[in-house]
Amino acid sequence: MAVQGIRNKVIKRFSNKVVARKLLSMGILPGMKISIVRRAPFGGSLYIMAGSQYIALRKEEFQDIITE
Amino acid sequence: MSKLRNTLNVAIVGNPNSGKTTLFNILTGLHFKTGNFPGVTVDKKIGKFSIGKDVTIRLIDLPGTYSLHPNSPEEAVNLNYFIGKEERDSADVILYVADSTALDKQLLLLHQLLELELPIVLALNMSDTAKKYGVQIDINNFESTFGIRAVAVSARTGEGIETLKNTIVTVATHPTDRIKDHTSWYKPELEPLIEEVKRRVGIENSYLALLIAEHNNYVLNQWLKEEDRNSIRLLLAEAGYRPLSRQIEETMNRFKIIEPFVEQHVKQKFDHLDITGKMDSFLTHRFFGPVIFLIITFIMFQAVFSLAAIPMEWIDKGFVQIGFYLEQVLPEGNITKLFTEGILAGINGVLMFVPQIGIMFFFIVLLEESGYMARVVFMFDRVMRIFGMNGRSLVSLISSSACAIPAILSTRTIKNRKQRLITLFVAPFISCSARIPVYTMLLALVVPNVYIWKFIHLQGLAFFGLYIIGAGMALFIAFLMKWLIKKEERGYLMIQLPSYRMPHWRSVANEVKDKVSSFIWTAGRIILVISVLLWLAANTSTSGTLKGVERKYTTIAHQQGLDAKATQILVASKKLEHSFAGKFGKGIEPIIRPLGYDWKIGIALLTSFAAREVFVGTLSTIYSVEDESQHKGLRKKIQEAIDIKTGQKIFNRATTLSLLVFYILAMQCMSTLAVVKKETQTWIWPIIQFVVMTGLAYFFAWITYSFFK
Repeated sequence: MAVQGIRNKVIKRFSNKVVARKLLSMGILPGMKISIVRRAPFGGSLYIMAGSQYIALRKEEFQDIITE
Repeated sequence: MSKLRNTLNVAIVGNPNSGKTTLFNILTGLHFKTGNFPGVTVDKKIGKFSIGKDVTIRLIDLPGTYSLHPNSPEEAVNLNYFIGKEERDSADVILYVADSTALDKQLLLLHQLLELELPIVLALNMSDTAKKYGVQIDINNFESTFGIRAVAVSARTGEGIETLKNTIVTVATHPTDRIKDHTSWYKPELEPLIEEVKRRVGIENSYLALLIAEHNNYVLNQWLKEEDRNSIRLLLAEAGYRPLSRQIEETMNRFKIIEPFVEQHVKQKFDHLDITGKMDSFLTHRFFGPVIFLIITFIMFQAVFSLAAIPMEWIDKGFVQIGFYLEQVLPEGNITKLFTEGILAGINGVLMFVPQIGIMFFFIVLLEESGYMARVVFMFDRVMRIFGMNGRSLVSLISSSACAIPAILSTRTIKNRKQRLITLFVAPFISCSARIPVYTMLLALVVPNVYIWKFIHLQGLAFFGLYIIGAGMALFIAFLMKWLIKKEERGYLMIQLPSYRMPHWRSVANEVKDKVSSFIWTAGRIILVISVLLWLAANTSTSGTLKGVERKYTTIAHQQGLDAKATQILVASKKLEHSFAGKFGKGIEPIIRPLGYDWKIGIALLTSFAAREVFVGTLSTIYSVEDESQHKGLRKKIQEAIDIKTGQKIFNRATTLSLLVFYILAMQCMSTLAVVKKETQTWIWPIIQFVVMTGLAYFFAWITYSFFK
């Protein structure tokens, strides 16, 4: 996955309930912009900027975010 | 007020990174009791403080959460608390804590709480940092928009704390007019369901009823009877109700109110995200990130060893002086001896290691408070998954280097059950602070106290090595368990990377003090009791035996022409050998001989199965008993101990290394086993843990001894 290329995509919806619940409660909502900042040193997870906060997600969790 | 006169219950609520704990500590001045929330093993802290002469506040600390919609039983603690109708602890006022520098994200929970129709005071925390970032908040608008009072506070500088206290009292006694139109997004078709829940649970609040319906699986049995739960589920199913889409809709609607509000009334000149982002481009860098992490842990272990050395020396010497003084002052006799050789030696065994344990806790609290721990979780998630765990496990394992018990409790944040089980199973392999005393004493016998290249302390380095062995074994066992336990279930990372902040030093100090004193009281009590029992066991035997031994060996010494001092040593050691303790140690000697241990080490080994740190106390008791004439420090006594039979030093290289290996690997902590049982709900896991760890310890100690002998 060419993760470095994902910049300022707009969140459309979530394809997993647990991911949806958790992200929503952290204030990450459809309509917000999401960018991948960097990969973890040993891979597997991503350093992400969503709206105006930084979060860490695994690749699979990131794939549960459907962008426009 | 219906409860105690002038006592107000205040529930302190907020997001995980809101600085809630710091504010709790400042308000209560650390006067609190710890209990448990029903149904889960989450600590419930209740602190007390007074405002003026008349009002006492009971401050109830609820666990930090982002939302009233729970994702786990632990996250449901807030919801269950507000459903609860316990007269004693139910809230009169909610104190909502939010980080002023991240208000846009921290108001969701507040907005949900508004609907509970309780008086709320909003503490806009970290006002000092907010000023630095150029954040300006128009405070009065919280009252006109949401009907709540807001106070700018800083737990760090103490700013606004008095105003906050007064506001709590004002709000409790003069409720403001609340704005009650935030229920407008409930669809009319939800009404029958809401009414049914209200009737069954016996509550009046519609929003709470809705939450109970949607999250009925997390609501405690004491609030929702099984039959009620079932009929609510039936109603949900009949209506084809979809809680998740309603939750999304609700959350989005709330943010539609919160976002413009924040935009309008909170002005921020300067983006602190920038600083955190820049720091992280280095601290979580592909190469530098892990390197920095290694350097930090290395510094931590160096500090534990070198910084603590001087105060430890003082304490050890101080106790020798006190013992010497007391023997001069107090009347001679067994009671005095019990005091100086039993109790005092035991207390020394606990207190001597407080500097090291304190430093260890200091670093861990510092890393948590600054926000760095979240980065550790992020960076090492993948690596830990190779070993059947996840990034959070690493934080648990790191805190296990202070104590396995909080580490095992912290595994509750790991949602995947297999990963959680593996983490709590291997956590005790990580060397905890209770092993520090044992390591320190034993390492001093085999590693010289020198520096290489002027700055690396050799004992510190060896100490680090012991931790590496423990950690390596933890990973190896975890890896095996990953293959042995066949159960796949998706795990999640999803963690906020909060902005870095300077830790609040007073709060860090308080937390360290809190943890150290709990170590002294829990471990200290066991150590003290065992010290006294041991002294008794070492000084008593079947009636007449000890007198007989004394007579016999005094005669023998006389015949051999030994001087007074040598006679005394011979008699004392023979008396110990024939005491209850000696018989006990001798009984197990055949089992531990292959590891290079004599019966005296055997006594110490057995007593450390109650708790490891007892080892040093036990040895100090045993060697005080044997060598009561000389007022040497403990280390010296042990170093010079000689095996009567062979004339060799008991703590030679092979035996000492074998003991070190045994202590790295063996499961010798009853409290840990009890906690594992509690967390896994079965005795199977603690039993396996005990057998595996102690078996490995025996095996590797035997190999070590055979190799160095």
